[in-house]
Amino acid sequence: MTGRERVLRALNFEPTDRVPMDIWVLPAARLAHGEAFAQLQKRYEDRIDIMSFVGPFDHGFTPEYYTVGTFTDPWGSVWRNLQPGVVGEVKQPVFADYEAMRGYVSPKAEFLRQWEQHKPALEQQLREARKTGKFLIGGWVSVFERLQFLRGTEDLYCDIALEEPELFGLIELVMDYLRAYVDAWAQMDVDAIPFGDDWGTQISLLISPVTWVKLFQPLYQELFDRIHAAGKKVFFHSDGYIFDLYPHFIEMGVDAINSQLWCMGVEKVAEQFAGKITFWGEISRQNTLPNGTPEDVKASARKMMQLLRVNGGGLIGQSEMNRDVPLANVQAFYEAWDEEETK
Amino acid sequence: MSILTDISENLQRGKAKIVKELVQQAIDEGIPANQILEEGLLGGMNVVGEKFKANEIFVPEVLVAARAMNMGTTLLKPLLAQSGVKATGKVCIGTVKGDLHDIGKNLVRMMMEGKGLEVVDLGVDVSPEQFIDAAKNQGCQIICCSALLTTTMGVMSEVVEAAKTAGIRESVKIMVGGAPVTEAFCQQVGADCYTADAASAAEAAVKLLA
Repeated sequence: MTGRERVLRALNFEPTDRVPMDIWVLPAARLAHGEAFAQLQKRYEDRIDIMSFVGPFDHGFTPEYYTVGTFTDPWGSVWRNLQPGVVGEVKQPVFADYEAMRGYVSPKAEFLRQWEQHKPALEQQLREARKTGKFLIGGWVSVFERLQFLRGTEDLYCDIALEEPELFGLIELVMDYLRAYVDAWAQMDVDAIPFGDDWGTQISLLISPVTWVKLFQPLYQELFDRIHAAGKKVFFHSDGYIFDLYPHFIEMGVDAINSQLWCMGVEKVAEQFAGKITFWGEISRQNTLPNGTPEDVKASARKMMQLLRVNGGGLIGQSEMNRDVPLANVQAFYEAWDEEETK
Repeated sequence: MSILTDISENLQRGKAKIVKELVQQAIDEGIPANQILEEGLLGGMNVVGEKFKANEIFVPEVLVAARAMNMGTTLLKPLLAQSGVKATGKVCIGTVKGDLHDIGKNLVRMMMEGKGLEVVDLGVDVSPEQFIDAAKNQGCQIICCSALLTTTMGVMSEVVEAAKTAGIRESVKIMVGGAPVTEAFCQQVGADCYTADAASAAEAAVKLLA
Protein backbone atom coordinates (compact mmCIF):
# COMPACT_ATOMS: atom_id res chain seq x y z
CA MET A 1 0.00 0.00 0.00
CA THR A 2 1.48 3.37 -0.97
CA GLY A 3 1.31 6.38 1.29
CA ARG A 4 -1.20 7.98 -1.02
CA GLU A 5 -3.42 4.92 -0.95
CA ARG A 6 -3.10 4.74 2.81
CA VAL A 7 -4.20 8.38 3.27
CA LEU A 8 -7.03 8.14 0.74
CA ARG A 9 -8.34 5.00 2.43
CA ALA A 10 -8.14 6.69 5.82
CA LEU A 11 -10.14 9.63 4.45
CA ASN A 12 -12.77 7.16 3.21
CA PHE A 13 -12.88 5.26 6.54
CA GLU A 14 -11.51 2.14 4.89
CA PRO A 15 -9.01 -0.18 6.58
CA THR A 16 -5.32 0.53 6.12
CA ASP A 17 -2.28 -1.64 6.84
CA ARG A 18 -1.20 0.95 9.40
CA VAL A 19 -2.15 4.47 10.44
CA PRO A 20 -0.91 6.91 7.78
CA MET A 21 1.58 9.40 9.17
CA ASP A 22 2.49 13.04 8.73
CA ILE A 23 5.02 15.15 10.63
CA TRP A 24 5.38 18.93 10.75
CA VAL A 25 8.82 20.12 11.71
CA LEU A 26 9.32 23.78 12.55
CA PRO A 27 12.67 25.05 11.29
CA ALA A 28 13.39 25.87 14.96
CA ALA A 29 13.46 22.14 15.76
CA ARG A 30 16.04 21.49 13.06
CA LEU A 31 18.11 24.42 14.30
CA ALA A 32 17.98 23.14 17.87
CA HIS A 33 18.77 19.50 17.18
CA GLY A 34 20.91 19.81 14.08
CA GLU A 35 22.20 16.69 12.36
CA ALA A 36 20.63 14.36 14.95
CA PHE A 37 17.18 15.47 13.87
CA ALA A 38 18.05 15.06 10.20
CA GLN A 39 19.27 11.52 10.89
CA LEU A 40 16.03 10.68 12.68
CA GLN A 41 13.97 12.02 9.79
CA LYS A 42 16.00 10.01 7.33
CA ARG A 43 15.72 6.84 9.41
CA TYR A 44 11.92 7.02 9.52
CA GLU A 45 11.35 8.63 6.13
CA ASP A 46 9.41 5.64 4.82
CA ARG A 47 6.86 5.90 7.62
CA ILE A 48 5.76 9.36 6.55
CA ASP A 49 2.96 9.22 4.01
CA ILE A 50 2.42 12.90 3.28
CA MET A 51 4.64 15.44 1.56
CA SER A 52 3.81 19.16 1.68
CA PHE A 53 4.81 21.81 -0.82
CA VAL A 54 4.80 25.58 -0.71
CA GLY A 55 4.95 28.16 -3.46
CA PRO A 56 5.14 31.91 -3.94
CA PHE A 57 3.83 34.00 -1.03
CA ASP A 58 3.69 30.95 1.31
CA HIS A 59 5.49 30.86 4.63
CA GLY A 60 8.71 28.95 4.13
CA PHE A 61 8.95 29.49 0.37
CA THR A 62 11.38 32.27 1.12
CA PRO A 63 13.29 32.44 4.43
CA GLU A 64 12.10 35.75 5.90
CA TYR A 65 9.09 34.38 7.82
CA TYR A 66 11.45 32.23 9.89
CA THR A 67 14.25 34.75 10.27
CA VAL A 68 14.80 37.01 13.26
CA GLY A 69 14.11 40.66 12.52
CA THR A 70 11.44 42.61 10.66
CA PHE A 71 10.25 42.35 7.09
CA THR A 72 7.39 43.55 4.92
CA ASP A 73 5.20 40.88 3.38
CA PRO A 74 3.87 41.08 -0.20
CA TRP A 75 0.69 42.73 1.08
CA GLY A 76 2.58 45.56 2.80
CA SER A 77 2.24 44.47 6.44
CA VAL A 78 5.34 44.55 8.61
CA TRP A 79 6.26 41.45 10.59
CA ARG A 80 8.50 41.12 13.60
CA ASN A 81 10.18 37.89 14.59
CA LEU A 82 12.18 37.14 17.73
CA GLN A 83 12.91 33.45 17.39
CA PRO A 84 14.80 31.79 14.54
CA GLY A 85 12.72 29.08 12.91
CA VAL A 86 9.35 30.22 14.29
CA VAL A 87 6.95 32.53 12.45
CA GLY A 88 6.61 35.94 14.11
CA GLU A 89 3.73 38.37 14.33
CA VAL A 90 2.45 41.28 12.25
CA LYS A 91 3.19 44.46 14.18
CA GLN A 92 2.35 47.06 11.53
CA PRO A 93 -0.68 45.93 9.57
CA VAL A 94 -1.04 47.65 6.21
CA PHE A 95 -4.67 48.59 6.90
CA ALA A 96 -4.33 49.79 10.48
CA ASP A 97 -6.21 52.74 8.99
CA TYR A 98 -8.77 51.82 6.36
CA GLU A 99 -7.80 54.97 4.47
CA ALA A 100 -4.84 52.92 3.23
CA MET A 101 -7.26 50.83 1.16
CA ARG A 102 -7.86 53.78 -1.17
CA GLY A 103 -5.77 53.16 -4.25
CA TYR A 104 -4.32 49.98 -2.76
CA VAL A 105 -3.04 47.55 -5.37
CA SER A 106 -3.72 43.92 -4.52
CA PRO A 107 -0.65 41.64 -4.68
CA LYS A 108 -2.70 39.15 -6.73
CA ALA A 109 -1.03 40.16 -10.00
CA GLU A 110 2.40 39.81 -8.43
CA PHE A 111 1.45 36.41 -7.01
CA LEU A 112 0.34 35.23 -10.46
CA ARG A 113 3.54 36.55 -12.01
CA GLN A 114 5.70 34.73 -9.46
CA TRP A 115 3.51 31.63 -9.77
CA GLU A 116 4.07 31.38 -13.53
CA GLN A 117 7.78 31.87 -12.97
CA HIS A 118 7.97 29.15 -10.34
CA LYS A 119 5.45 26.74 -11.86
CA PRO A 120 7.87 24.65 -13.98
CA ALA A 121 10.09 24.01 -10.96
CA LEU A 122 7.10 23.13 -8.81
CA GLU A 123 5.75 20.77 -11.46
CA GLN A 124 9.11 19.06 -11.57
CA GLN A 125 9.17 18.75 -7.76
CA LEU A 126 5.71 17.22 -7.81
CA ARG A 127 6.64 14.78 -10.60
CA GLU A 128 9.56 13.58 -8.50
CA ALA A 129 7.38 13.41 -5.40
CA ARG A 130 4.78 11.31 -7.22
CA LYS A 131 7.41 8.63 -7.69
CA THR A 132 7.54 8.18 -3.90
CA GLY A 133 3.90 7.14 -3.80
CA LYS A 134 3.15 9.63 -1.06
CA PHE A 135 0.06 11.82 -0.64
CA LEU A 136 0.87 15.34 -1.81
CA ILE A 137 -0.38 18.54 -0.20
CA GLY A 138 0.16 21.96 -1.77
CA GLY A 139 -0.15 25.54 -0.52
CA TRP A 140 -1.72 26.95 2.64
CA VAL A 141 -4.91 29.00 2.64
CA SER A 142 -5.72 31.41 5.47
CA VAL A 143 -8.79 33.62 5.40
CA PHE A 144 -9.20 34.84 8.99
CA GLU A 145 -5.47 35.10 9.61
CA ARG A 146 -4.89 37.00 6.37
CA LEU A 147 -7.55 39.47 7.47
CA GLN A 148 -5.74 39.84 10.79
CA PHE A 149 -2.38 40.30 9.08
CA LEU A 150 -3.86 43.07 6.95
CA ARG A 151 -5.98 44.88 9.51
CA GLY A 152 -4.41 44.00 12.86
CA THR A 153 -5.98 41.47 15.20
CA GLU A 154 -7.74 43.79 17.62
CA ASP A 155 -9.10 46.12 14.97
CA LEU A 156 -10.34 43.17 12.94
CA TYR A 157 -12.19 41.76 15.95
CA CYS A 158 -13.77 45.15 16.56
CA ASP A 159 -14.79 45.37 12.90
CA ILE A 160 -16.44 41.98 13.25
CA ALA A 161 -18.31 43.00 16.40
CA LEU A 162 -19.50 46.27 14.90
CA GLU A 163 -19.96 44.89 11.36
CA GLU A 164 -17.99 47.82 9.98
CA PRO A 165 -18.75 48.38 6.27
CA GLU A 166 -15.04 48.51 5.36
CA LEU A 167 -14.62 44.96 6.63
CA PHE A 168 -16.59 43.62 3.70
CA GLY A 169 -14.30 45.40 1.23
CA LEU A 170 -11.32 43.89 2.99
CA ILE A 171 -12.87 40.43 2.84
CA GLU A 172 -13.47 40.79 -0.90
CA LEU A 173 -9.86 41.89 -1.42
CA VAL A 174 -8.65 38.74 0.33
CA MET A 175 -11.14 36.46 -1.40
CA ASP A 176 -10.25 37.83 -4.83
CA TYR A 177 -6.64 36.86 -4.14
CA LEU A 178 -7.53 33.50 -2.63
CA ARG A 179 -9.67 32.47 -5.58
CA ALA A 180 -6.63 32.96 -7.82
CA TYR A 181 -4.36 31.25 -5.28
CA VAL A 182 -6.62 28.23 -4.86
CA ASP A 183 -7.18 27.90 -8.61
CA ALA A 184 -3.41 27.96 -9.18
CA TRP A 185 -2.80 25.13 -6.72
CA ALA A 186 -5.87 23.21 -7.88
CA GLN A 187 -4.29 22.91 -11.33
CA MET A 188 -1.23 21.23 -9.89
CA ASP A 189 -0.78 17.51 -9.32
CA VAL A 190 -1.47 17.61 -5.59
CA ASP A 191 -3.98 15.53 -3.66
CA ALA A 192 -5.11 18.13 -1.16
CA ILE A 193 -4.99 21.84 -0.42
CA PRO A 194 -4.76 22.77 3.27
CA PHE A 195 -6.33 25.66 5.15
CA GLY A 196 -4.99 27.17 8.34
CA ASP A 197 -6.91 29.57 10.57
CA ASP A 198 -6.82 29.48 14.36
CA TRP A 199 -10.39 29.77 15.65
CA GLY A 200 -10.07 28.86 19.29
CA THR A 201 -8.70 30.02 22.59
CA GLN A 202 -7.69 27.29 25.00
CA ILE A 203 -11.26 27.01 26.29
CA SER A 204 -13.66 28.47 23.73
CA LEU A 205 -14.08 29.89 20.26
CA LEU A 206 -12.55 33.30 19.56
CA ILE A 207 -15.71 34.59 17.92
CA SER A 208 -19.34 33.68 18.27
CA PRO A 209 -20.30 30.53 16.34
CA VAL A 210 -23.29 32.47 15.00
CA THR A 211 -20.96 35.10 13.55
CA TRP A 212 -18.67 32.39 12.20
CA VAL A 213 -21.51 30.76 10.31
CA LYS A 214 -22.79 34.06 9.01
CA LEU A 215 -19.51 35.68 8.03
CA PHE A 216 -16.89 33.00 7.46
CA GLN A 217 -18.63 29.77 6.53
CA PRO A 218 -19.70 31.08 3.08
CA LEU A 219 -16.13 32.19 2.34
CA TYR A 220 -14.70 28.79 3.19
CA GLN A 221 -17.49 26.99 1.36
CA GLU A 222 -16.75 28.87 -1.85
CA LEU A 223 -13.06 27.95 -1.68
CA PHE A 224 -13.73 24.35 -0.61
CA ASP A 225 -16.10 23.92 -3.56
CA ARG A 226 -13.44 25.14 -6.00
CA ILE A 227 -10.98 22.61 -4.59
CA HIS A 228 -13.42 19.72 -4.57
CA ALA A 229 -14.50 20.58 -8.12
CA ALA A 230 -10.88 20.11 -9.15
CA GLY A 231 -10.88 16.65 -7.58
CA LYS A 232 -8.70 17.59 -4.62
CA LYS A 233 -9.24 17.04 -0.92
CA VAL A 234 -9.64 19.85 1.63
CA PHE A 235 -7.57 19.68 4.82
CA PHE A 236 -8.08 22.23 7.63
CA HIS A 237 -5.91 23.26 10.56
CA SER A 238 -7.11 25.28 13.53
CA ASP A 239 -5.54 25.77 16.91
CA GLY A 240 -7.64 26.07 20.02
CA TYR A 241 -10.98 24.86 21.28
CA ILE A 242 -13.09 24.41 18.15
CA PHE A 243 -15.53 21.77 19.34
CA ASP A 244 -18.49 23.83 18.13
CA LEU A 245 -17.05 24.14 14.62
CA TYR A 246 -16.61 20.43 13.86
CA PRO A 247 -20.26 20.02 12.75
CA HIS A 248 -19.79 22.88 10.29
CA PHE A 249 -16.53 21.49 8.92
CA ILE A 250 -18.26 18.14 8.45
CA GLU A 251 -21.25 19.77 6.77
CA MET A 252 -18.92 21.76 4.49
CA GLY A 253 -17.09 18.65 3.34
CA VAL A 254 -13.70 19.15 4.97
CA ASP A 255 -11.88 15.87 4.45
CA ALA A 256 -9.40 16.05 7.33
CA ILE A 257 -9.13 18.30 10.38
CA ASN A 258 -5.98 19.13 12.33
CA SER A 259 -6.95 20.41 15.76
CA GLN A 260 -5.82 20.52 19.36
CA LEU A 261 -7.77 17.45 20.44
CA TRP A 262 -6.29 17.44 23.90
CA CYS A 263 -7.55 20.86 24.99
CA MET A 264 -11.06 19.74 24.07
CA GLY A 265 -10.71 16.19 25.34
CA VAL A 266 -10.09 13.36 22.87
CA GLU A 267 -12.93 11.30 24.35
CA LYS A 268 -15.41 14.14 23.98
CA VAL A 269 -14.36 14.83 20.40
CA ALA A 270 -14.41 11.14 19.49
CA GLU A 271 -17.82 10.55 21.02
CA GLN A 272 -19.38 13.20 18.80
CA PHE A 273 -17.33 13.19 15.64
CA ALA A 274 -15.30 9.99 15.12
CA GLY A 275 -16.29 8.45 11.81
CA LYS A 276 -17.69 11.73 10.50
CA ILE A 277 -14.42 13.45 9.61
CA THR A 278 -10.81 12.26 9.46
CA PHE A 279 -8.58 13.53 12.25
CA TRP A 280 -5.21 14.76 10.95
CA GLY A 281 -3.42 14.46 14.30
CA GLU A 282 -2.37 15.54 16.77
CA ILE A 283 -0.50 14.62 19.95
CA SER A 284 -0.47 17.55 22.38
CA ARG A 285 2.32 19.96 21.47
CA GLN A 286 1.48 22.07 24.53
CA ASN A 287 2.20 19.30 26.98
CA THR A 288 2.96 15.70 25.94
CA LEU A 289 5.48 16.33 23.17
CA PRO A 290 7.67 18.88 24.99
CA ASN A 291 7.15 17.69 28.58
CA GLY A 292 6.12 14.04 28.45
CA THR A 293 8.13 10.84 28.19
CA PRO A 294 8.39 8.68 25.07
CA GLU A 295 5.88 6.34 26.69
CA ASP A 296 3.48 9.29 27.17
CA VAL A 297 3.80 10.06 23.45
CA LYS A 298 3.00 6.46 22.55
CA ALA A 299 0.11 6.37 25.02
CA SER A 300 -1.40 9.46 23.37
CA ALA A 301 -1.16 7.82 19.97
CA ARG A 302 -2.69 4.64 21.35
CA LYS A 303 -5.61 6.57 22.75
CA MET A 304 -6.15 8.38 19.47
CA MET A 305 -6.09 5.11 17.55
CA GLN A 306 -8.55 3.52 19.97
CA LEU A 307 -10.97 6.43 19.95
CA LEU A 308 -10.74 8.08 16.55
CA ARG A 309 -10.21 5.23 14.10
CA VAL A 310 -13.42 3.96 12.58
CA ASN A 311 -13.41 0.88 10.34
CA GLY A 312 -9.64 1.18 10.22
CA GLY A 313 -9.67 4.73 8.82
CA GLY A 314 -10.47 8.25 9.98
CA LEU A 315 -7.08 9.03 11.48
CA ILE A 316 -3.76 10.37 10.25
CA GLY A 317 -1.00 10.18 12.84
CA GLN A 318 0.32 13.73 12.71
CA SER A 319 2.11 16.06 15.10
CA GLU A 320 4.20 19.23 15.04
CA MET A 321 7.74 19.35 16.39
CA ASN A 322 9.11 22.54 17.88
CA ARG A 323 12.56 23.02 19.35
CA ASP A 324 11.39 22.06 22.84
CA VAL A 325 10.44 18.51 21.82
CA PRO A 326 13.19 16.11 22.96
CA LEU A 327 14.60 13.86 20.24
CA ALA A 328 13.49 10.80 22.20
CA ASN A 329 9.91 12.03 21.89
CA VAL A 330 10.32 12.68 18.17
CA GLN A 331 11.48 9.10 17.81
CA ALA A 332 8.57 7.90 19.94
CA PHE A 333 6.22 9.80 17.64
CA TYR A 334 7.60 7.96 14.61
CA GLU A 335 7.12 4.63 16.34
CA ALA A 336 3.85 5.41 18.08
CA TRP A 337 1.50 4.64 15.22
CA ASP A 338 2.68 1.11 14.63
CA GLU A 339 0.06 -0.78 16.56
CA GLU A 340 2.24 -3.81 17.11
CA GLU A 341 4.90 -1.70 18.82
CA THR A 342 2.53 0.30 20.97
CA LYS A 343 0.41 -2.53 22.38
CA MET B 1 -33.88 54.08 32.71
CA SER B 2 -31.19 56.02 34.58
CA ILE B 3 -28.34 57.49 32.62
CA LEU B 4 -25.92 55.19 34.46
CA THR B 5 -27.85 52.13 33.33
CA ASP B 6 -27.88 53.60 29.85
CA ILE B 7 -24.08 53.97 29.97
CA SER B 8 -23.69 50.39 31.16
CA GLU B 9 -25.93 48.95 28.47
CA ASN B 10 -24.34 50.92 25.64
CA LEU B 11 -20.92 49.90 26.87
CA GLN B 12 -21.98 46.26 26.75
CA ARG B 13 -22.97 46.75 23.11
CA GLY B 14 -19.66 48.45 22.31
CA LYS B 15 -21.27 51.76 21.39
CA ALA B 16 -18.22 53.87 22.18
CA LYS B 17 -19.45 57.15 20.78
CA ILE B 18 -22.75 56.95 22.65
CA VAL B 19 -20.98 55.98 25.88
CA LYS B 20 -18.76 59.02 25.57
CA GLU B 21 -21.74 61.29 25.02
CA LEU B 22 -23.63 59.78 27.93
CA VAL B 23 -20.66 60.05 30.27
CA GLN B 24 -20.32 63.73 29.36
CA GLN B 25 -24.04 64.18 29.93
CA ALA B 26 -23.78 62.50 33.34
CA ILE B 27 -20.86 64.76 34.26
CA ASP B 28 -22.88 67.80 33.17
CA GLU B 29 -25.79 66.64 35.29
CA GLY B 30 -23.49 66.71 38.32
CA ILE B 31 -23.28 62.99 38.96
CA PRO B 32 -20.03 62.32 40.84
CA ALA B 33 -17.29 60.92 38.59
CA ASN B 34 -16.75 57.97 40.91
CA GLN B 35 -20.40 57.02 40.67
CA ILE B 36 -20.36 57.24 36.86
CA LEU B 37 -17.29 55.04 36.85
CA GLU B 38 -18.58 52.47 39.31
CA GLU B 39 -22.21 52.17 38.31
CA GLY B 40 -21.94 53.00 34.63
CA LEU B 41 -18.64 51.89 33.16
CA LEU B 42 -17.38 49.27 35.59
CA GLY B 43 -20.91 47.97 36.09
CA GLY B 44 -21.11 47.43 32.33
CA MET B 45 -17.72 45.74 32.18
CA ASN B 46 -18.72 43.41 35.02
CA VAL B 47 -21.62 42.17 32.92
CA VAL B 48 -19.28 41.80 29.92
CA GLY B 49 -16.86 39.75 32.03
CA GLU B 50 -19.61 37.45 33.28
CA LYS B 51 -21.00 36.90 29.79
CA PHE B 52 -17.50 36.26 28.43
CA LYS B 53 -16.87 33.63 31.07
CA ALA B 54 -20.18 31.99 30.23
CA ASN B 55 -19.39 31.97 26.47
CA GLU B 56 -22.39 34.19 25.82
CA ILE B 57 -20.10 36.72 24.16
CA PHE B 58 -16.65 36.35 22.63
CA VAL B 59 -13.44 38.30 22.08
CA PRO B 60 -14.84 40.83 19.55
CA GLU B 61 -17.64 41.89 21.89
CA VAL B 62 -15.22 42.24 24.82
CA LEU B 63 -12.87 44.39 22.77
CA VAL B 64 -15.52 46.84 21.62
CA ALA B 65 -16.91 47.07 25.15
CA ALA B 66 -13.44 47.81 26.49
CA ARG B 67 -12.91 50.50 23.88
CA ALA B 68 -16.24 52.03 24.84
CA MET B 69 -15.16 51.99 28.48
CA ASN B 70 -11.92 53.75 27.58
CA MET B 71 -13.85 56.51 25.83
CA GLY B 72 -15.73 57.09 29.06
CA THR B 73 -12.81 56.83 31.44
CA THR B 74 -10.81 59.34 29.40
CA LEU B 75 -13.43 61.93 30.34
CA LEU B 76 -13.55 60.82 33.96
CA LYS B 77 -9.83 60.56 34.72
CA PRO B 78 -9.15 64.26 35.40
CA LEU B 79 -12.26 64.49 37.57
CA LEU B 80 -11.33 61.37 39.52
CA ALA B 81 -7.85 62.77 40.08
CA GLN B 82 -9.28 66.10 41.26
CA SER B 83 -11.51 64.39 43.78
CA GLY B 84 -8.67 62.18 45.03
CA VAL B 85 -10.23 58.91 43.89
CA LYS B 86 -7.55 56.31 43.34
CA ALA B 87 -7.57 52.98 41.55
CA THR B 88 -8.18 49.98 43.78
CA GLY B 89 -4.78 48.56 42.91
CA LYS B 90 -1.94 48.68 40.44
CA VAL B 91 -0.83 45.88 38.13
CA CYS B 92 1.96 45.63 35.58
CA ILE B 93 1.31 43.25 32.73
CA GLY B 94 3.29 41.97 29.77
CA THR B 95 3.97 39.12 27.39
CA VAL B 96 7.22 37.47 28.43
CA LYS B 97 10.54 37.77 26.65
CA GLY B 98 10.74 36.02 23.30
CA ASP B 99 6.98 36.09 22.78
CA LEU B 100 5.19 38.66 20.62
CA HIS B 101 1.60 37.52 21.10
CA ASP B 102 -0.56 40.07 22.83
CA ILE B 103 -4.27 39.53 22.30
CA GLY B 104 -4.63 37.46 25.48
CA LYS B 105 -2.55 39.89 27.49
CA ASN B 106 -4.60 42.80 26.18
CA LEU B 107 -7.85 41.10 27.12
CA VAL B 108 -6.60 40.61 30.68
CA ARG B 109 -5.54 44.27 30.82
CA MET B 110 -8.98 45.39 29.68
CA MET B 111 -10.79 43.14 32.12
CA MET B 112 -8.59 44.38 34.98
CA GLU B 113 -9.26 47.98 34.02
CA GLY B 114 -12.90 47.01 34.00
CA LYS B 115 -12.49 46.11 37.67
CA GLY B 116 -11.12 49.55 38.44
CA LEU B 117 -7.47 48.52 38.59
CA GLU B 118 -4.70 50.67 37.18
CA VAL B 119 -2.74 48.61 34.69
CA VAL B 120 0.75 49.39 33.42
CA ASP B 121 1.04 47.63 30.07
CA LEU B 122 4.66 46.72 29.41
CA GLY B 123 3.85 45.31 25.97
CA VAL B 124 5.41 42.20 24.47
CA ASP B 125 8.86 40.62 24.71
CA VAL B 126 9.20 41.82 28.31
CA SER B 127 12.27 40.69 30.22
CA PRO B 128 12.16 39.63 33.89
CA GLU B 129 14.14 42.77 34.70
CA GLN B 130 11.54 44.97 33.03
CA PHE B 131 8.77 43.36 35.08
CA ILE B 132 10.72 43.88 38.29
CA ASP B 133 11.67 47.47 37.46
CA ALA B 134 8.05 48.32 36.69
CA ALA B 135 6.84 46.74 39.91
CA LYS B 136 9.47 48.56 41.99
CA ASN B 137 9.44 51.93 40.31
CA GLN B 138 5.74 52.24 39.65
CA GLY B 139 4.48 50.64 42.83
CA CYS B 140 2.66 47.70 41.26
CA GLN B 141 1.25 45.17 43.68
CA ILE B 142 0.79 42.51 41.02
CA ILE B 143 2.99 41.34 38.15
CA CYS B 144 0.99 39.62 35.44
CA CYS B 145 2.87 37.46 32.89
CA SER B 146 1.45 36.13 29.64
CA ALA B 147 2.84 33.60 27.12
CA LEU B 148 1.39 31.75 24.18
CA LEU B 149 4.35 29.55 23.35
CA THR B 150 5.65 26.51 25.21
CA THR B 151 9.11 27.74 24.29
CA THR B 152 8.65 31.05 26.14
CA MET B 153 6.49 30.18 29.15
CA GLY B 154 9.63 29.17 31.07
CA VAL B 155 10.52 32.87 31.34
CA MET B 156 7.79 33.11 34.00
CA SER B 157 10.02 31.12 36.31
CA GLU B 158 12.76 33.69 35.73
CA VAL B 159 10.35 36.48 36.68
CA VAL B 160 9.61 34.76 39.99
CA GLU B 161 13.33 34.31 40.65
CA ALA B 162 14.08 37.91 39.68
CA ALA B 163 11.43 39.11 42.15
CA LYS B 164 13.15 37.09 44.90
CA THR B 165 16.56 38.45 43.95
CA ALA B 166 15.23 42.00 43.95
CA GLY B 167 13.76 41.46 47.41
CA ILE B 168 10.19 42.21 46.36
CA ARG B 169 8.75 38.69 46.21
CA GLU B 170 6.94 39.07 49.53
CA SER B 171 5.33 42.34 48.56
CA VAL B 172 4.32 41.51 44.98
CA LYS B 173 1.88 38.87 43.76
CA ILE B 174 2.72 37.15 40.49
CA MET B 175 -0.01 35.96 38.14
CA VAL B 176 0.59 33.76 35.08
CA GLY B 177 -1.58 32.92 32.09
CA GLY B 178 -1.71 32.02 28.42
CA ALA B 179 -2.75 29.05 26.32
CA PRO B 180 -0.17 26.46 27.45
CA VAL B 181 -0.06 27.65 31.07
CA THR B 182 -1.76 25.52 33.70
CA GLU B 183 -2.33 25.54 37.45
CA ALA B 184 0.36 22.88 37.81
CA PHE B 185 2.83 25.07 35.90
CA CYS B 186 1.91 28.03 38.11
CA GLN B 187 2.77 26.01 41.21
CA GLN B 188 5.89 24.59 39.60
CA VAL B 189 7.37 28.04 38.93
CA GLY B 190 6.25 29.41 42.29
CA ALA B 191 3.80 32.01 40.99
CA ASP B 192 0.78 33.00 43.06
CA CYS B 193 -2.13 32.67 40.70
CA TYR B 194 -3.22 31.14 37.38
CA THR B 195 -6.58 31.59 35.73
CA ALA B 196 -7.90 30.09 32.52
CA ASP B 197 -9.52 33.21 31.10
CA ALA B 198 -9.24 36.99 31.19
CA ALA B 199 -12.37 37.69 33.20
CA SER B 200 -11.30 35.25 35.91
CA ALA B 201 -7.84 36.85 35.95
CA ALA B 202 -9.38 40.21 36.73
CA GLU B 203 -11.51 38.73 39.51
CA ALA B 204 -8.48 36.94 40.93
CA ALA B 205 -6.44 40.15 40.88
CA VAL B 206 -9.10 41.94 42.91
CA LYS B 207 -9.07 39.08 45.43
CA LEU B 208 -5.28 39.14 45.66
CA LEU B 209 -5.42 42.84 46.48
CA ALA B 210 -8.17 42.51 49.09
